[in-house]
Amino acid sequence: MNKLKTTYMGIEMNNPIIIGASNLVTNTDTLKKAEESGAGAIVYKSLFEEQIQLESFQLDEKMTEFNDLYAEMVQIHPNIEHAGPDEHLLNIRKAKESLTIPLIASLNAVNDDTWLKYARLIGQTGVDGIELNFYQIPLDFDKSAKEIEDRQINILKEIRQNISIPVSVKLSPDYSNILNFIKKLDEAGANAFVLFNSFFQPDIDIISEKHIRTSHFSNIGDYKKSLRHAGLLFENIKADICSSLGIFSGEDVVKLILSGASCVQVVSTIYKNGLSQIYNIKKELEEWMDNKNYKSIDEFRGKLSRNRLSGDPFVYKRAQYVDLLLNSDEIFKVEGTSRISSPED
Amino acid sequence: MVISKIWIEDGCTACGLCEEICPEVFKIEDVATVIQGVNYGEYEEKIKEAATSCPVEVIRYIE
Repeated sequence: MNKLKTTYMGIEMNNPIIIGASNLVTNTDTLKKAEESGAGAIVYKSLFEEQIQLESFQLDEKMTEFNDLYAEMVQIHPNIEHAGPDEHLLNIRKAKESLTIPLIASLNAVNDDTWLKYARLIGQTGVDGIELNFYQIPLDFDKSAKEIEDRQINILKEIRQNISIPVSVKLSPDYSNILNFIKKLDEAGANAFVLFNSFFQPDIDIISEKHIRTSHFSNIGDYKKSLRHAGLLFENIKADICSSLGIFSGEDVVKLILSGASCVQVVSTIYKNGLSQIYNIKKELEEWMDNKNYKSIDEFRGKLSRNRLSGDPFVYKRAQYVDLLLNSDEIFKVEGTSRISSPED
Repeated sequence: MVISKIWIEDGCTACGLCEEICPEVFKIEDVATVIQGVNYGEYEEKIKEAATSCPVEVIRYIE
């Protein structure tokens, strides 16, 4: 019996390790290698509406750049249009056909109508589910949190009413009250929540005084915000929880399942350690379960969520921080002297 | 300074990020390889970006 088996938004998986959306697994060869390395499922790299718009604009520029060279010339190139999302959709279809494990598509659209249009097209490729990437980088001083949230809820409702495959929502933690927002998305029909997104953040080279692109890999230990939210959400929403961000080892996976996650998504650890890391994570998870005598993931999923806590009721609040302040003299004491200086020092 | 030599040290995970950033210079086979006969000077910025982005920091170059 496969003790690592789990279910994620109705999709059965051999284990809870999903390779998250990235450029790691895009061609058939690497997809097959990912499957052979033991991944439970794969999220295919995102369809970005912004990228399609940019490519389409660049193609238009290329097609018309010499049109004014001679007065007699109408146009130098034949009429060719950008294929839009067709190439990406074809690749998703091919990817799905090449795999036996579940494949989930990922969507980053911009306009309300294209969210639905692209989601419908993705739904026709045969994928097992679709992941919607909702985020809002705050740039507009006049837009309220409610406006942003209402728009995203409406997009989800529209998609949910029009496509039949399961829909997950991947979120950033940057909402005013993310628990309330998730509750509303849950009521709107989300089948799962992927917590959390990671974003590029700008950085500056002080020699050239220019912005630079930096690595945006997550680091070991970055999973803690995901852990907190899995613990707060478990058994309080209908949707499944998939934890993401900073999950590197089997030990991390154990912690997130104990908090309430049904599965996890990994990316940075695969970039840093290669696909064989999937095998290592599964092995660590299985060994831990053997030591604890757990026969299935469900036996310990959510065991340390807020709803099931029998011990410290404040563990999901700021009590640890208060405790740190109240006991700072003790905590920072070194050989009988306190390292905390008083204002008179 | 112009980049005169590039090499890949042991430990490449073949993630493909360098090829994605600078396909003119890097190619993934079993691991990342450096394409020979390329004028690296033309792609300096992209080579440096690939080196700093490499998750296992195995891309080395001499200026």
